[in-house]
Amino acid sequence: MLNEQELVKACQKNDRKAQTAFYNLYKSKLMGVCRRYTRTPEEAEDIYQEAFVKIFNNIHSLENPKAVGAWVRKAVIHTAINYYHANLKFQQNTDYENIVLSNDDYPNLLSTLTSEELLSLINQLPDGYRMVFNLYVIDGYNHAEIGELLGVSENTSKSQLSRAKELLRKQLKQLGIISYERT
Amino acid sequence: MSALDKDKDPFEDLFRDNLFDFESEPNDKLWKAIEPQLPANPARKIPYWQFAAVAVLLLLTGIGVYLLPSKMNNNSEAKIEQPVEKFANSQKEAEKSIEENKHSNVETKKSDNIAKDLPTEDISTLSSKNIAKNPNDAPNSNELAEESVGISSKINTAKLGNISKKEAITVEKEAIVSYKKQGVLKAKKGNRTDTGEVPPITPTDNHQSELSSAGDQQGNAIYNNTQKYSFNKSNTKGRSAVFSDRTNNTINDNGVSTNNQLSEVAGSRFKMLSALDSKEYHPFTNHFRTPKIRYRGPKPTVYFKESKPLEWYVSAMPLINYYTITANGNDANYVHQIAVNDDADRLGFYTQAGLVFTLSDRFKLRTGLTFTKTNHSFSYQVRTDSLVVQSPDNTGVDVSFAEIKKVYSQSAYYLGTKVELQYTFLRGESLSHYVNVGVEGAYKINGSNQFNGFANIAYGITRQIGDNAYLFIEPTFSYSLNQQSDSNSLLLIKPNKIGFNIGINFKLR
Repeated sequence: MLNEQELVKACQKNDRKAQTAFYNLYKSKLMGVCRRYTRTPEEAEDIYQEAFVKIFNNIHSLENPKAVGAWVRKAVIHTAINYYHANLKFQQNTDYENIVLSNDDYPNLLSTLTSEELLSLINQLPDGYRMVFNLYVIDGYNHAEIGELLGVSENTSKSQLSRAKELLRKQLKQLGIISYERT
Repeated sequence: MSALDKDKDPFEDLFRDNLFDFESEPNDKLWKAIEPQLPANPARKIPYWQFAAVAVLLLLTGIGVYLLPSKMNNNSEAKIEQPVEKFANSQKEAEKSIEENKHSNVETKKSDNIAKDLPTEDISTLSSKNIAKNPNDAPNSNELAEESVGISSKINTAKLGNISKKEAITVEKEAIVSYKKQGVLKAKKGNRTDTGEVPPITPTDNHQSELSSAGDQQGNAIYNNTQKYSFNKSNTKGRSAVFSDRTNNTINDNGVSTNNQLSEVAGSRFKMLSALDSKEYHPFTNHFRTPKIRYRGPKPTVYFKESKPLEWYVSAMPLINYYTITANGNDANYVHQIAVNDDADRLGFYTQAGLVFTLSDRFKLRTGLTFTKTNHSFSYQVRTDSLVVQSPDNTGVDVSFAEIKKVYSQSAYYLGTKVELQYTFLRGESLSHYVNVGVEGAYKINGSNQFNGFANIAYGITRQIGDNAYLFIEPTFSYSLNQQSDSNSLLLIKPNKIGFNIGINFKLR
């Protein structure tokens, strides 16, 4: 049984068996990333497929096999960004002014939320919001990096994040969740 | 990534904690779609031992090709020696039988008297009447002598076995006719110089009477015998005796020298006729009827045996690579802006050593091991199908395809083996000119394993620089038979070579 680093070295030699093992090792994690960045599962599959091809084509350039986990994750995110650019449509201008924060006191149902339900909330976000939210909140990029990756300014990234969060809060509120502190 | 450093936000933590390690099982069909798009290993892995086996095989083939012709020559020589030896033995046996026959004839002559075959009075007549003294005999004698010599040579040829028995018999018949002719001529002219000449065929009564008549007319005729003389194998001894006695008589008479010569020729002719006529001759002729045996003449004395030199060689060649480049893009990647990074990267080094087998006067087989060091470096751009959206001034959006600059560089070491056929087309006093054509297999021994095949062609000039040393210079062109590529397989490269090979041949034997 090869460890992760040996697997990477074998994949760098285009060993088909190693490629299969590598795929099986990362397929679920990377599909999870793809699902976050896309609206539909079909789009996620497109990105997923393209991402894996790029990974195997460029794995020889991975100098430090120990960092393969972060590297493949980054590859998928960049593929998702490319996909976003390729399918870029002028997003509808949302009337953010009409969004009014709710102060209703719903019971704390946070513990009842599953990852799939949270994912579905993200999926419903507009593409730009979803990209920024994923990059900033989940994957840890700062606004400067996000602005560079998405080809937007840092301020645009910030405002889109803010609006994305407001939309999510609104959706959560509809589910009866108004407090996010875990008890 | 400063997100983790920012202030804690329970809302963000909710999503981060739940979704950072979120996993989702993909559909199995996705792998089936991905797998065909994965880069395959471009180089077929050939273990080192297989490579070594090929090299050894080539060397053995060369040695075999070199040694086989000389071995075959030895075998054929041995085969030729056997029939020659047999022939020599047969010839000796035949000569021995001839000698025995001769001795038996002589003994017969001694023991049996001439009188057994000829009447006593004939002998006395022959001895008493002696040879004719007529000077007109000379021309006739010469003519007869010439004819006799001609026939004698034919018989000699027959003795040597160069003609068949049938031909020998024909010659014998000619001889008989000649004898008869001699007798008739001499009898007609009545100028008998050879008193002992008896026609070797059975004279008819007419002939006999003619001879007798002529003898009576000249008064010194020899052929007075009236007894029939039958020429057959049963009375060979008698005939021999007659001829022998005739010769003796001639010598005793101290006659004209021409007659003596004629007698000698006739005597030798008779011996040969006896040999052909004897039964002991048959095995010798039968031996030559065997169709399987071919006489190729005696083995010539060889003072200098032709040798096929075996040489070893070593050479070095600075080389420069030139490339056949094929862009291998696809729908998602457009390869363009390909450039070879010159500088010193195209220079390489090639060295080889091996054996040279001389196949013939013009052809040689050269095989050996090679080591190659080459460098190459290419830069190119790939335009992907990904769009890049930029808003430099926040007022508009620039959309373009993503361009990726790539560099494919490699420093490779190859270990290989080669086999070449060398043809010398011009051999001068000091310089020889030749062409080399061959193939080479080279295995990359650093980095990713690759096998490359090359077709080599070279024009060479060689000159002797020592007793066993030859310097050669070969401008060489090496064409790559397969392509190399980087891991992206976006560029397909044929690393052809041009070099100036300089080396030395040493004769081993």
